[in-house]
Amino acid sequence: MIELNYEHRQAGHCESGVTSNMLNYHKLSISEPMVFGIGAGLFFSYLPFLKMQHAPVTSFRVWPGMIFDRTTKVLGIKTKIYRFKNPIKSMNKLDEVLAQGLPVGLQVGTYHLPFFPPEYRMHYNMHNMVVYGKKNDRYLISDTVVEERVDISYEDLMRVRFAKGTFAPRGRMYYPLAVPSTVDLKPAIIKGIRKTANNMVGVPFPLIGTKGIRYLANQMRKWPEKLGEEKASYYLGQVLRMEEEIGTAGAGFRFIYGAFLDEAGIVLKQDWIREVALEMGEAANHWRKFSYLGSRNCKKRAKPEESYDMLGDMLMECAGKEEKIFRRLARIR
Amino acid sequence: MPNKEQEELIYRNNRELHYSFDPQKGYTRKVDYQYAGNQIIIQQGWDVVESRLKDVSEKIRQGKLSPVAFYMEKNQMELPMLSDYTGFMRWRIKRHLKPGVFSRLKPGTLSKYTSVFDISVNELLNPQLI
Repeated sequence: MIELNYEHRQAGHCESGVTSNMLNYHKLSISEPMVFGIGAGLFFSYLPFLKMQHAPVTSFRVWPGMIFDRTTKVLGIKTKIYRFKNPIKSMNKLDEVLAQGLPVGLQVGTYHLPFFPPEYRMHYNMHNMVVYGKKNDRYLISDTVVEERVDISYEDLMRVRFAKGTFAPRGRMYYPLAVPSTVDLKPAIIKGIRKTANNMVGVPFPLIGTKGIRYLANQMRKWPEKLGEEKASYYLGQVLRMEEEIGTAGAGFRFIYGAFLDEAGIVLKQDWIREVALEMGEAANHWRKFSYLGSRNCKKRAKPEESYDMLGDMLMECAGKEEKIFRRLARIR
Repeated sequence: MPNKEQEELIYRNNRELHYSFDPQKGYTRKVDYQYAGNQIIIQQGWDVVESRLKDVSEKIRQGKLSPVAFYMEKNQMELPMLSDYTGFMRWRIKRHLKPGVFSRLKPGTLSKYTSVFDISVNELLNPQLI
Protein backbone atom coordinates (compact mmCIF):
# COMPACT_ATOMS: atom_id res chain seq x y z
CA MET A 1 0.00 0.00 0.00
CA ILE A 2 1.38 3.36 -1.05
CA GLU A 3 -0.16 6.76 -0.71
CA LEU A 4 2.07 9.70 -1.53
CA ASN A 5 1.43 13.08 -0.02
CA TYR A 6 0.37 14.52 -3.37
CA GLU A 7 -1.74 17.65 -3.59
CA HIS A 8 -4.72 17.36 -5.95
CA ARG A 9 -5.34 20.68 -7.66
CA GLN A 10 -7.75 21.18 -10.52
CA ALA A 11 -6.35 22.84 -13.61
CA GLY A 12 -7.57 24.43 -16.81
CA HIS A 13 -5.53 22.11 -19.00
CA CYS A 14 -4.52 18.55 -18.19
CA GLU A 15 -0.90 18.51 -19.30
CA SER A 16 0.18 21.86 -17.87
CA GLY A 17 -1.80 21.06 -14.70
CA VAL A 18 -0.15 17.67 -14.29
CA THR A 19 3.30 19.17 -14.86
CA SER A 20 2.70 22.00 -12.42
CA ASN A 21 1.31 19.64 -9.75
CA MET A 22 4.14 17.12 -10.10
CA LEU A 23 6.78 19.85 -9.83
CA ASN A 24 4.93 21.16 -6.82
CA TYR A 25 5.26 17.71 -5.22
CA HIS A 26 9.02 18.03 -5.70
CA LYS A 27 8.96 21.36 -3.85
CA LEU A 28 9.22 23.53 -6.95
CA SER A 29 6.28 25.89 -6.76
CA ILE A 30 5.27 26.90 -10.29
CA SER A 31 1.82 27.92 -11.49
CA GLU A 32 -0.13 26.21 -14.23
CA PRO A 33 -0.07 29.24 -16.60
CA MET A 34 3.70 29.53 -16.05
CA VAL A 35 4.17 25.91 -17.16
CA PHE A 36 1.87 26.47 -20.13
CA GLY A 37 3.83 29.54 -21.25
CA ILE A 38 7.32 28.13 -20.72
CA GLY A 39 6.24 24.94 -22.45
CA ALA A 40 5.02 27.12 -25.36
CA GLY A 41 1.63 25.40 -25.29
CA LEU A 42 -0.36 27.96 -27.28
CA PHE A 43 -0.79 27.25 -30.96
CA PHE A 44 -3.23 27.25 -33.80
CA SER A 45 -3.59 24.85 -36.67
CA TYR A 46 -6.42 23.95 -39.01
CA LEU A 47 -5.91 20.67 -40.84
CA PRO A 48 -8.81 20.06 -43.24
CA PHE A 49 -7.19 16.91 -44.69
CA LEU A 50 -7.16 15.26 -41.25
CA LYS A 51 -10.55 14.19 -39.95
CA MET A 52 -11.50 13.44 -36.37
CA GLN A 53 -15.03 12.32 -35.56
CA HIS A 54 -15.93 13.03 -39.20
CA ALA A 55 -14.86 16.69 -39.16
CA PRO A 56 -11.59 18.56 -39.90
CA VAL A 57 -9.07 18.83 -37.10
CA THR A 58 -8.63 22.25 -35.50
CA SER A 59 -6.08 22.53 -32.75
CA PHE A 60 -5.47 25.38 -30.35
CA ARG A 61 -2.37 23.94 -28.71
CA VAL A 62 0.82 22.03 -29.48
CA TRP A 63 1.15 18.24 -29.79
CA PRO A 64 0.57 16.23 -26.60
CA GLY A 65 3.67 15.68 -24.51
CA MET A 66 5.45 18.80 -25.67
CA ILE A 67 4.51 21.00 -22.73
CA PHE A 68 5.99 18.61 -20.16
CA ASP A 69 9.06 17.91 -22.29
CA ARG A 70 9.86 21.55 -23.06
CA THR A 71 9.17 22.91 -19.59
CA THR A 72 11.36 20.37 -17.82
CA LYS A 73 14.09 20.68 -20.42
CA VAL A 74 14.49 24.46 -20.29
CA LEU A 75 14.30 24.44 -16.49
CA GLY A 76 17.03 21.80 -16.31
CA ILE A 77 14.86 19.18 -14.62
CA LYS A 78 15.81 15.54 -15.04
CA THR A 79 12.93 13.39 -16.24
CA LYS A 80 12.11 9.85 -17.29
CA ILE A 81 9.73 9.10 -20.15
CA TYR A 82 8.67 5.61 -21.16
CA ARG A 83 6.51 4.01 -23.81
CA PHE A 84 5.66 0.31 -23.88
CA LYS A 85 4.68 -2.44 -26.25
CA ASN A 86 3.70 -4.82 -23.48
CA PRO A 87 0.83 -3.69 -21.20
CA ILE A 88 1.87 -5.96 -18.29
CA LYS A 89 5.40 -4.57 -18.34
CA SER A 90 4.02 -1.03 -18.36
CA MET A 91 2.05 -1.77 -15.19
CA ASN A 92 5.04 -3.41 -13.48
CA LYS A 93 7.16 -0.36 -14.26
CA LEU A 94 4.46 1.90 -12.85
CA ASP A 95 4.39 -0.11 -9.59
CA GLU A 96 8.17 0.03 -9.40
CA VAL A 97 8.33 3.82 -9.74
CA LEU A 98 5.47 4.33 -7.28
CA ALA A 99 7.35 2.18 -4.76
CA GLN A 100 10.28 4.62 -5.07
CA GLY A 101 7.95 7.33 -3.81
CA LEU A 102 7.47 9.18 -7.08
CA PRO A 103 4.11 10.28 -8.54
CA VAL A 104 3.81 9.29 -12.19
CA GLY A 105 2.15 11.13 -15.08
CA LEU A 106 0.26 9.00 -17.59
CA GLN A 107 -1.13 9.67 -21.05
CA VAL A 108 -4.48 7.91 -21.40
CA GLY A 109 -7.53 7.61 -23.62
CA THR A 110 -10.75 8.99 -22.15
CA TYR A 111 -13.29 6.66 -23.76
CA HIS A 112 -12.97 3.92 -21.13
CA LEU A 113 -12.05 6.15 -18.20
CA PRO A 114 -14.69 5.16 -15.60
CA PHE A 115 -14.53 8.26 -13.40
CA PHE A 116 -14.66 10.73 -16.31
CA PRO A 117 -17.87 12.78 -16.76
CA PRO A 118 -19.97 10.78 -19.27
CA GLU A 119 -20.48 13.72 -21.62
CA TYR A 120 -16.71 13.86 -22.22
CA ARG A 121 -16.21 10.16 -22.87
CA MET A 122 -15.11 10.28 -26.50
CA HIS A 123 -12.10 8.61 -28.09
CA TYR A 124 -9.67 11.27 -27.03
CA ASN A 125 -6.19 9.87 -26.45
CA MET A 126 -4.30 12.93 -25.31
CA HIS A 127 -5.53 13.13 -21.76
CA ASN A 128 -3.06 13.27 -18.86
CA MET A 129 -3.42 12.31 -15.22
CA VAL A 130 -1.23 11.40 -12.26
CA VAL A 131 -1.00 8.17 -10.25
CA TYR A 132 0.05 8.93 -6.70
CA GLY A 133 -0.57 5.65 -4.89
CA LYS A 134 -2.05 2.18 -4.73
CA LYS A 135 -4.49 1.02 -2.09
CA ASN A 136 -6.44 -2.27 -1.92
CA ASP A 137 -5.37 -3.05 -5.49
CA ARG A 138 -6.76 0.22 -6.78
CA TYR A 139 -4.61 3.01 -8.18
CA LEU A 140 -5.07 6.46 -6.66
CA ILE A 141 -5.51 9.10 -9.32
CA SER A 142 -5.35 12.87 -9.42
CA ASP A 143 -7.10 14.06 -12.58
CA THR A 144 -7.06 17.83 -13.04
CA VAL A 145 -10.45 17.82 -14.79
CA VAL A 146 -12.23 16.02 -11.95
CA GLU A 147 -13.17 17.77 -8.73
CA GLU A 148 -12.17 15.06 -6.26
CA ARG A 149 -9.39 12.50 -6.06
CA VAL A 150 -10.46 9.24 -7.72
CA ASP A 151 -9.25 5.66 -8.08
CA ILE A 152 -9.21 3.01 -10.80
CA SER A 153 -8.77 -0.76 -11.07
CA TYR A 154 -5.71 -2.47 -12.54
CA GLU A 155 -7.64 -3.69 -15.61
CA ASP A 156 -9.28 -0.33 -16.33
CA LEU A 157 -6.00 1.53 -15.96
CA MET A 158 -4.24 -0.86 -18.32
CA ARG A 159 -7.05 -0.44 -20.81
CA VAL A 160 -6.95 3.36 -20.90
CA ARG A 161 -3.13 3.36 -21.10
CA PHE A 162 -3.38 1.24 -24.22
CA ALA A 163 -6.30 2.96 -25.91
CA LYS A 164 -6.13 2.72 -29.70
CA GLY A 165 -6.61 5.26 -32.46
CA THR A 166 -5.08 8.64 -33.30
CA PHE A 167 -2.30 9.62 -30.86
CA ALA A 168 -2.53 6.25 -29.10
CA PRO A 169 -0.73 6.66 -25.76
CA ARG A 170 1.08 3.31 -25.96
CA GLY A 171 1.45 3.29 -22.19
CA ARG A 172 3.31 6.60 -22.10
CA MET A 173 4.42 7.44 -18.56
CA TYR A 174 6.62 10.30 -17.45
CA TYR A 175 7.85 11.90 -14.25
CA PRO A 176 10.46 14.31 -12.93
CA LEU A 177 13.40 12.54 -11.29
CA ALA A 178 15.54 15.28 -9.82
CA VAL A 179 14.26 18.82 -9.40
CA PRO A 180 16.56 21.67 -8.39
CA SER A 181 15.19 23.61 -5.40
CA THR A 182 15.48 26.92 -7.21
CA VAL A 183 15.32 27.62 -10.90
CA ASP A 184 15.81 30.77 -12.93
CA LEU A 185 12.48 31.38 -14.65
CA LYS A 186 13.61 34.39 -16.68
CA PRO A 187 15.53 32.75 -19.55
CA ALA A 188 12.91 29.99 -19.67
CA ILE A 189 10.08 32.52 -20.01
CA ILE A 190 11.85 34.40 -22.79
CA LYS A 191 12.55 31.17 -24.66
CA GLY A 192 8.93 30.06 -24.30
CA ILE A 193 7.50 33.37 -25.53
CA ARG A 194 9.87 33.41 -28.52
CA LYS A 195 8.87 29.89 -29.46
CA THR A 196 5.16 30.70 -29.31
CA ALA A 197 5.56 33.98 -31.19
CA ASN A 198 7.42 32.13 -33.91
CA ASN A 199 4.76 29.42 -34.09
CA MET A 200 2.01 32.00 -34.37
CA VAL A 201 3.47 34.55 -36.81
CA GLY A 202 6.81 33.24 -38.01
CA VAL A 203 6.02 30.05 -39.90
CA PRO A 204 5.54 30.45 -43.64
CA PHE A 205 2.78 27.87 -43.92
CA PRO A 206 -0.87 28.84 -44.52
CA LEU A 207 -2.56 26.41 -42.11
CA ILE A 208 -0.88 27.30 -38.85
CA GLY A 209 -0.61 30.33 -36.61
CA THR A 210 -2.56 33.49 -37.39
CA LYS A 211 -2.46 32.56 -41.09
CA GLY A 212 -4.30 29.38 -40.16
CA ILE A 213 -6.99 31.35 -38.31
CA ARG A 214 -7.53 33.48 -41.42
CA TYR A 215 -7.63 30.41 -43.63
CA LEU A 216 -10.27 28.85 -41.39
CA ALA A 217 -12.26 32.12 -41.44
CA ASN A 218 -12.40 32.08 -45.24
CA GLN A 219 -13.31 28.40 -45.37
CA MET A 220 -16.04 28.85 -42.78
CA ARG A 221 -17.86 31.45 -44.87
CA LYS A 222 -18.22 28.87 -47.64
CA TRP A 223 -19.38 26.00 -45.41
CA PRO A 224 -23.20 26.46 -45.61
CA GLU A 225 -23.11 26.58 -49.40
CA LYS A 226 -20.52 23.84 -49.83
CA LEU A 227 -21.66 21.38 -47.17
CA GLY A 228 -25.30 22.16 -46.51
CA GLU A 229 -26.73 23.55 -43.29
CA GLU A 230 -26.52 20.30 -41.29
CA LYS A 231 -22.89 19.47 -41.96
CA ALA A 232 -21.78 23.11 -41.74
CA SER A 233 -23.23 23.30 -38.27
CA TYR A 234 -21.46 20.06 -37.29
CA TYR A 235 -18.12 21.35 -38.62
CA LEU A 236 -18.61 24.59 -36.74
CA GLY A 237 -19.50 22.62 -33.60
CA GLN A 238 -16.27 20.66 -33.94
CA VAL A 239 -14.19 23.86 -34.06
CA LEU A 240 -16.01 25.13 -30.98
CA ARG A 241 -15.57 21.85 -29.11
CA MET A 242 -11.83 22.02 -29.73
CA GLU A 243 -11.82 25.64 -28.60
CA GLU A 244 -13.97 25.38 -25.51
CA GLU A 245 -14.34 21.84 -24.29
CA ILE A 246 -12.51 20.33 -21.35
CA GLY A 247 -8.86 21.01 -20.87
CA THR A 248 -8.68 24.33 -22.67
CA ALA A 249 -9.47 26.54 -19.69
CA GLY A 250 -11.70 28.39 -22.14
CA ALA A 251 -11.26 30.27 -25.42
CA GLY A 252 -8.76 27.88 -26.91
CA PHE A 253 -6.14 28.35 -24.13
CA ARG A 254 -6.06 32.11 -24.74
CA PHE A 255 -7.11 32.94 -21.16
CA ILE A 256 -4.47 30.72 -19.63
CA TYR A 257 -1.82 32.18 -21.94
CA GLY A 258 -2.82 35.70 -20.98
CA ALA A 259 -2.54 34.77 -17.31
CA PHE A 260 0.96 33.53 -18.09
CA LEU A 261 1.94 36.81 -19.79
CA ASP A 262 0.70 38.73 -16.78
CA GLU A 263 2.87 36.63 -14.47
CA ALA A 264 5.80 36.77 -16.90
CA GLY A 265 5.70 40.58 -16.92
CA ILE A 266 6.06 40.61 -13.14
CA VAL A 267 8.90 38.08 -13.03
CA LEU A 268 10.83 39.79 -15.84
CA LYS A 269 10.02 43.28 -14.48
CA GLN A 270 8.93 44.34 -17.96
CA ASP A 271 5.69 46.28 -17.77
CA TRP A 272 5.03 46.19 -21.49
CA ILE A 273 4.45 42.44 -21.28
CA ARG A 274 1.68 43.03 -18.75
CA GLU A 275 0.14 45.44 -21.26
CA VAL A 276 0.28 42.71 -23.87
CA ALA A 277 -1.39 40.42 -21.33
CA LEU A 278 -4.36 42.80 -21.32
CA GLU A 279 -4.54 42.64 -25.12
CA MET A 280 -4.40 38.86 -24.90
CA GLY A 281 -7.35 38.98 -22.51
CA GLU A 282 -9.33 41.08 -24.98
CA ALA A 283 -8.49 38.61 -27.73
CA ALA A 284 -9.57 35.72 -25.50
CA ASN A 285 -12.88 37.42 -24.78
CA HIS A 286 -13.35 37.86 -28.51
CA TRP A 287 -12.80 34.12 -29.03
CA ARG A 288 -15.29 33.47 -26.26
CA LYS A 289 -17.86 35.69 -27.98
CA PHE A 290 -17.21 33.87 -31.24
CA SER A 291 -17.93 30.52 -29.59
CA TYR A 292 -21.03 31.86 -27.90
CA LEU A 293 -22.52 33.15 -31.15
CA GLY A 294 -21.34 30.01 -32.91
CA SER A 295 -23.18 27.83 -30.41
CA ARG A 296 -26.39 29.71 -31.22
CA ASN A 297 -25.86 28.65 -34.81
CA CYS A 298 -25.46 25.06 -33.67
CA LYS A 299 -28.72 25.32 -31.79
CA LYS A 300 -30.38 26.98 -34.80
CA ARG A 301 -31.22 29.97 -32.68
CA ALA A 302 -29.03 32.41 -34.55
CA LYS A 303 -30.41 35.69 -35.78
CA PRO A 304 -29.95 36.26 -39.51
CA GLU A 305 -27.05 38.64 -38.96
CA GLU A 306 -25.23 35.97 -36.92
CA SER A 307 -24.35 34.05 -40.05
CA TYR A 308 -21.23 32.15 -41.03
CA ASP A 309 -20.08 35.31 -42.77
CA MET A 310 -20.21 37.15 -39.51
CA LEU A 311 -18.41 34.32 -37.71
CA GLY A 312 -15.74 34.51 -40.40
CA ASP A 313 -15.38 38.24 -39.75
CA MET A 314 -14.99 37.56 -36.03
CA LEU A 315 -12.25 35.03 -36.67
CA MET A 316 -10.50 37.58 -38.87
CA GLU A 317 -10.58 40.00 -35.96
CA CYS A 318 -9.15 37.34 -33.63
CA ALA A 319 -6.36 36.72 -36.13
CA GLY A 320 -5.66 40.47 -36.38
CA LYS A 321 -5.46 40.89 -32.61
CA GLU A 322 -3.19 37.89 -32.20
CA GLU A 323 -0.92 38.90 -35.03
CA LYS A 324 -0.38 42.26 -33.36
CA ILE A 325 0.25 40.58 -30.00
CA PHE A 326 2.77 38.05 -31.24
CA ARG A 327 4.63 40.47 -33.50
CA ARG A 328 5.19 42.55 -30.40
CA LEU A 329 6.16 39.55 -28.27
CA ALA A 330 8.61 38.32 -30.92
CA ARG A 331 10.82 41.29 -30.01
CA ILE A 332 11.27 40.17 -26.41
CA ARG A 333 14.78 39.98 -24.99
CA MET B 1 -19.91 38.25 -20.94
CA PRO B 2 -22.81 36.86 -22.96
CA ASN B 3 -22.47 33.47 -21.26
CA LYS B 4 -24.01 34.79 -18.07
CA GLU B 5 -27.38 34.64 -19.80
CA GLN B 6 -29.60 32.38 -17.73
CA GLU B 7 -29.93 29.19 -19.69
CA GLU B 8 -30.73 25.69 -18.52
CA LEU B 9 -27.60 23.60 -17.90
CA ILE B 10 -27.65 20.21 -19.56
CA TYR B 11 -24.77 18.59 -17.69
CA ARG B 12 -24.14 18.86 -13.97
CA ASN B 13 -21.76 15.95 -13.43
CA ASN B 14 -18.53 17.72 -12.69
CA ARG B 15 -17.20 21.19 -12.02
CA GLU B 16 -14.01 22.31 -13.72
CA LEU B 17 -11.53 25.11 -13.36
CA HIS B 18 -12.18 28.01 -15.72
CA TYR B 19 -10.02 31.03 -16.41
CA SER B 20 -11.49 34.33 -17.46
CA PHE B 21 -10.47 37.91 -18.07
CA ASP B 22 -12.08 41.20 -17.15
CA PRO B 23 -10.45 44.51 -18.15
CA GLN B 24 -11.00 45.87 -14.62
CA LYS B 25 -10.29 42.80 -12.50
CA GLY B 26 -7.66 41.16 -14.70
CA TYR B 27 -7.33 37.38 -14.81
CA THR B 28 -9.48 35.30 -12.49
CA ARG B 29 -10.11 31.61 -11.94
CA LYS B 30 -13.20 29.83 -10.73
CA VAL B 31 -14.49 26.29 -10.38
CA ASP B 32 -17.90 25.79 -11.95
CA TYR B 33 -19.95 23.77 -14.39
CA GLN B 34 -19.23 24.23 -18.07
CA TYR B 35 -20.90 27.36 -19.55
CA ALA B 36 -24.38 26.90 -21.00
CA GLY B 37 -23.16 27.86 -24.48
CA ASN B 38 -20.41 25.26 -24.32
CA GLN B 39 -22.81 22.60 -23.11
CA ILE B 40 -24.88 23.12 -26.25
CA ILE B 41 -21.97 22.25 -28.49
CA ILE B 42 -21.10 19.22 -26.35
CA GLN B 43 -24.67 18.02 -26.72
CA GLN B 44 -24.58 18.64 -30.46
CA GLY B 45 -21.67 16.20 -30.71
CA TRP B 46 -23.75 13.50 -28.98
CA ASP B 47 -26.84 14.26 -31.08
CA VAL B 48 -24.80 13.55 -34.19
CA VAL B 49 -23.59 10.26 -32.69
CA GLU B 50 -27.20 9.29 -32.07
CA SER B 51 -28.42 10.22 -35.53
CA ARG B 52 -25.62 8.16 -37.09
CA LEU B 53 -26.69 5.26 -34.89
CA LYS B 54 -30.25 5.62 -36.14
CA ASP B 55 -29.09 5.45 -39.75
CA VAL B 56 -27.11 2.30 -39.05
CA SER B 57 -30.08 0.74 -37.22
CA GLU B 58 -32.26 1.37 -40.24
CA LYS B 59 -29.74 -0.31 -42.54
CA ILE B 60 -29.58 -3.35 -40.27
CA ARG B 61 -33.38 -3.64 -40.34
CA GLN B 62 -33.23 -3.54 -44.13
CA GLY B 63 -30.69 -6.35 -44.05
CA LYS B 64 -27.89 -4.23 -45.50
CA LEU B 65 -25.51 -4.28 -42.52
CA SER B 66 -24.62 -6.67 -39.67
CA PRO B 67 -24.75 -5.91 -35.91
CA VAL B 68 -20.98 -5.27 -35.97
CA ALA B 69 -21.79 -2.00 -37.75
CA PHE B 70 -24.20 -1.07 -34.97
CA TYR B 71 -21.71 -1.62 -32.15
CA MET B 72 -18.94 0.01 -34.13
CA GLU B 73 -21.05 3.16 -34.42
CA LYS B 74 -22.27 2.89 -30.84
CA ASN B 75 -18.66 2.86 -29.64
CA GLN B 76 -17.90 5.76 -31.99
CA MET B 77 -15.28 3.70 -33.77
CA GLU B 78 -14.19 3.74 -37.37
CA LEU B 79 -12.55 0.90 -39.27
CA PRO B 80 -8.91 1.65 -38.41
CA MET B 81 -9.66 1.88 -34.69
CA LEU B 82 -11.77 -1.26 -34.57
CA SER B 83 -9.03 -3.01 -36.50
CA ASP B 84 -6.50 -1.92 -33.85
CA TYR B 85 -8.71 -3.09 -30.98
CA THR B 86 -9.68 -6.47 -32.45
CA GLY B 87 -6.47 -7.24 -34.29
CA PHE B 88 -8.53 -8.10 -37.40
CA MET B 89 -7.43 -6.68 -40.75
CA ARG B 90 -9.68 -3.93 -42.09
CA TRP B 91 -10.85 -5.94 -45.08
CA ARG B 92 -11.92 -8.73 -42.72
CA ILE B 93 -14.01 -6.36 -40.63
CA LYS B 94 -15.55 -4.98 -43.82
CA ARG B 95 -16.66 -8.52 -44.67
CA HIS B 96 -18.06 -8.97 -41.17
CA LEU B 97 -20.27 -5.94 -41.77
CA LYS B 98 -22.23 -8.00 -44.34
CA PRO B 99 -25.16 -9.82 -42.69
CA GLY B 100 -24.55 -12.98 -44.73
CA VAL B 101 -20.92 -13.28 -43.68
CA PHE B 102 -21.69 -12.29 -40.10
CA SER B 103 -24.25 -15.08 -39.63
CA ARG B 104 -21.58 -17.68 -40.44
CA LEU B 105 -18.90 -16.34 -38.04
CA LYS B 106 -17.27 -18.81 -35.64
CA PRO B 107 -17.69 -18.36 -31.85
CA GLY B 108 -14.01 -17.40 -31.53
CA THR B 109 -14.40 -14.49 -33.92
CA LEU B 110 -17.59 -13.36 -32.21
CA SER B 111 -15.96 -13.43 -28.79
CA LYS B 112 -13.27 -11.04 -30.04
CA TYR B 113 -16.02 -8.53 -30.85
CA THR B 114 -17.90 -9.11 -27.59
CA SER B 115 -14.79 -8.43 -25.51
CA VAL B 116 -13.91 -5.24 -27.42
CA PHE B 117 -17.50 -3.96 -27.25
CA ASP B 118 -17.97 -5.14 -23.65
CA ILE B 119 -21.18 -7.09 -24.39
CA SER B 120 -22.50 -10.68 -24.32
CA VAL B 121 -22.80 -12.87 -27.41
CA ASN B 122 -26.57 -12.58 -27.14
CA GLU B 123 -26.33 -8.79 -27.18
CA LEU B 124 -24.05 -8.97 -30.22
CA LEU B 125 -26.50 -11.17 -32.14
CA ASN B 126 -29.59 -9.16 -31.10
CA PRO B 127 -28.65 -5.47 -30.80
CA GLN B 128 -31.17 -3.05 -29.30
CA LEU B 129 -31.68 -1.04 -32.48
CA ILE B 130 -32.95 2.50 -32.14
